[in-house]
Amino acid sequence: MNFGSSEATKELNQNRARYAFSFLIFFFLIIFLRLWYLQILQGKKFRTFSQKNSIKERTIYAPRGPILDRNGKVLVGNIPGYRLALEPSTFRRKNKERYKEVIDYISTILDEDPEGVSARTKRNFSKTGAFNPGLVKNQISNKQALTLKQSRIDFPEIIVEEVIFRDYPLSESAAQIFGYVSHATKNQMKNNRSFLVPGDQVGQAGIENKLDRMIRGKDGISYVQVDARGRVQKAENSLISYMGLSKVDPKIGNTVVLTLDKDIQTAAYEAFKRDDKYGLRKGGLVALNMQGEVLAWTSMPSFDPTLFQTGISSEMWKSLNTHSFKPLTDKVAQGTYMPGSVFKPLVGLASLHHGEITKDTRVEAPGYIFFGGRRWHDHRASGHGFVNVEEALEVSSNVFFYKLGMQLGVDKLTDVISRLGLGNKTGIKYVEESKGLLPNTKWKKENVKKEPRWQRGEDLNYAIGQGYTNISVLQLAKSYLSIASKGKVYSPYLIKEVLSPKGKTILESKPNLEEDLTTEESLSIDPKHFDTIIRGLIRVAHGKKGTARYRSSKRFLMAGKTGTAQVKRFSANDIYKKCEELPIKDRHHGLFVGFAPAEKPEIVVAALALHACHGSSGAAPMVTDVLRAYMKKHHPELFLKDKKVAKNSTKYKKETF
Amino acid sequence: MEWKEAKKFDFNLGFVIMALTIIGLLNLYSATHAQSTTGLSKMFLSQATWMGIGWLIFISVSLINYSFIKHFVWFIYVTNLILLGSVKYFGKSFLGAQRWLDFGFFRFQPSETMKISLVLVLSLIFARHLKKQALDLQDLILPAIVTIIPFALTVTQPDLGTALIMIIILGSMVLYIGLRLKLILIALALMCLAAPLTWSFGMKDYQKQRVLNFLNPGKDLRGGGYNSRQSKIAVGSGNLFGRGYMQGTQSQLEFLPERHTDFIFSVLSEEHGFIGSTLTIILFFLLFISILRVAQSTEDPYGSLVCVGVGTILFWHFFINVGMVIGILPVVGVPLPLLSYGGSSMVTTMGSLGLVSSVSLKRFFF
Repeated sequence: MNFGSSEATKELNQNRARYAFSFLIFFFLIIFLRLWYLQILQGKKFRTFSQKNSIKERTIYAPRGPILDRNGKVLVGNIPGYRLALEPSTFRRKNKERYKEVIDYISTILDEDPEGVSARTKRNFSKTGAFNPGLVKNQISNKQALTLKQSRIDFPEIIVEEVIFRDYPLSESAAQIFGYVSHATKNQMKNNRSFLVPGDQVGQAGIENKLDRMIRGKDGISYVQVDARGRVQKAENSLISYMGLSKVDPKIGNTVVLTLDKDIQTAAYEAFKRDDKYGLRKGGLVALNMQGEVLAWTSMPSFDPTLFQTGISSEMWKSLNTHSFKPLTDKVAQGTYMPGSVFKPLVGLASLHHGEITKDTRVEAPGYIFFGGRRWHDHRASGHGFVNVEEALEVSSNVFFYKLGMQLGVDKLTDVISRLGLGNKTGIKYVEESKGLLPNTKWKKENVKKEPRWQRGEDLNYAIGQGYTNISVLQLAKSYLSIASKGKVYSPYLIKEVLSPKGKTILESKPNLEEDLTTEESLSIDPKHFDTIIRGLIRVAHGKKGTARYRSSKRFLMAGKTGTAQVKRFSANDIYKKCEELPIKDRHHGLFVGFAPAEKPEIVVAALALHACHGSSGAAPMVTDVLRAYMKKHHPELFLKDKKVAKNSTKYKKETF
Repeated sequence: MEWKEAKKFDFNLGFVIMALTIIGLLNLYSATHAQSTTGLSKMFLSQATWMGIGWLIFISVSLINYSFIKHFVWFIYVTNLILLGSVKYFGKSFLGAQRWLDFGFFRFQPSETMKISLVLVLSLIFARHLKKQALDLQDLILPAIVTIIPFALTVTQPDLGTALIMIIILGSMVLYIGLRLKLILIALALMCLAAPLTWSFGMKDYQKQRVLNFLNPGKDLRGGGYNSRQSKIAVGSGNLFGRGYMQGTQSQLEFLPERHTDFIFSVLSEEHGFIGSTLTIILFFLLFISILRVAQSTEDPYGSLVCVGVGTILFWHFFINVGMVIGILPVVGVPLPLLSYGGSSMVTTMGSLGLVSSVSLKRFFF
């Protein structure tokens, strides 16, 4: 390329360089002048800003969204309270002696051991980072807050903040469902991408945990200026506003609306509080309406969720975990139990469906039968004579159902019964649940190595709800809902909807009809079979010989079934006689599942009374309490004076009594 | 090799680069020492290593005959384009943008080298026109095409900052050579038209936010407005003599965000004051003057344009970064050449300066 030879081009190039040079001069002059302006002309101002620059962000914790019942009543809310913290500078190594002074003073006000307070506070501070206050205690009393606030003249390190705490007005009631909140753990901060910072309150169990991301609000920020010792200065507006910082208001979380009915829930909890000769009742109770909406859910013994946010003591935590009845464990969906006699209606239904019996088939039910070389006892030594299925349910005849089990065998029965939801997860969302077990021969072959072959005798045990069968209270309620609704299988649900603070629906649950057992696509069970079983169940509650006749209501017609689940094996003769004399841990569990009004069911309640010996005296009164509360609320006319509806006209009465 | 020719090595250039790299290391030490117990932070050691590598690259490239590269310019350009395109499919995502190719032992950002490849290609194209007084419209068609392709690929990563620098490179080189007045006016009109379109379609929300923060910093809470203000406080509080080495409270107490990368100049200004920052600025000025001198004195139009291109890249990085630090430009993630922490930037900067040195040396090593 011939470039350099041309004089004209050379000149052109020099011109270009000259332009470029002036261009550079221009831009560098801008920078120079700007530096002059910032560092020399405005230098003093910026030096002051820099010296004062100790603006710290403080988090304004957003209140969590409330949890409401189906009618908008507050189940879990928020309540203002005080929290006590110390300025970060207090923790500096050179302030060691001062720190001790402060802790000693605080401890006298809180009436706690200084060493415990110090250890806890240091632990909290190490979690929250060097520039944030170290938490001493959440939810100090108003009086303590006032005293500590006033002593700030002598102890400027003390911070008393007004904070929103979680409020659980129901306390123990349904605590396992709601769960609780406490400080985010290290793992939670590491694992999820929800931007948790130390000190954030996070749902740790139950709905608080499962829906945490929805319930948790968005924290706001405020800015404070602190001096070299970390003490908050009076707002120096010039600097904070120069920095373009302004307070960000916190945003409350979303509202969770549950299907629970606070009134029914309270009745369910109160039912457990009925003191009787067995001491405080323990166990689980769940109430569903006919679409599977959970109206009440109680598991006892329980705990007060409030305890966790004040910082639960290690002894308390230990006792919650080692308590023999495990208060933290939900007895409704997580625990599984042998159903005992509450299983019989399902066996009856399966037998009717398979045509093994009709509603009128009478079977001899003596005090015992011989089978496989041993005696199989009824709980009534004299037996019940010839009974049909309704009567067999009324008196809870063992022999009647032994015979059905013998005839049909486990597989045919399980084929039908499993379709009503037993031995499988119920499909409830946002709640931990267990699968339980409904055995068949295939299951035993695969799982019981010691004796893989299904024994005929096990058919008998199976038919009265014993043996391998293990189900949750929620599964029981679900299956009885199917009976009460004549074949409709609904998955229970607890979360009705989640609403944004502005009322927009974020999540909504609709009744989930899994299948209708009477349809051809399903089992085509004859609806009349359900009527037969329901009549039997009404007789349990209202019949002359009904096992729950003393436990039912006179005001409305209810249906149900008692059950007793063995904890330990005893010879048949001992089952009822000696229960009360056994140590509590060995006593039988009582069960009862009922629904009302029997003519046109609206609510199903299943209850388990741990170690209460009998279904009738232990569980049935609780179920009746809840049914009564429901009926009183929705059918108050039945409870007017001189009305005895149960004995008035009902088609069941005409037909059966 | 003859000594006579070796004398052509531009010692001015070498001296300025040496001075800037040393200032850079000392300053980075101050910015990062608080983060480690020994004072020698990982970042400092890593940067020192990269600086060594950078010098090796500078010297090697100086010794290569840049005219030899001329034959491979299109190959380099196309290869770089392919790498740039492959980022979309094989790249690492970081903060919502895919910019990196991971080669295991190091991560490579093709858009960094693309700037140099673009300069090489544009120099080759424009070398033919250097005899002209001013460029015509038809002279711009090919350059526009070779710029638009990497621009489009980079925008979609999305990395608007780097993409815009490509356009600025083209514009600066065109203006250096000379353009007819009519065309300058048309270009201005096009820019006015393109700006609102870019705003509505080309920019991500965070990018828009940055521009808004710049225009109205009081409105912002904890975004660019905050960074920019803290940086201004840092620079301004330096006054005439600075607060002393490793004594800047803004940097040492962590008020300054990104103080080892984008806001490294704030650290320098705070601790060394008006005198220190002006001296550093003057060193940069000398750097660009040296590059310009090489561009002007070489007799090969291609070599001349390569120098201009390299100078353009470095100048705009410098100006955008410092402008952001002193609050006259919005906060964009552009490093300050030779001073900011980062291996990629160090290597590409030293490599491109090596090209300039090679032009001045005119050694035929092959």
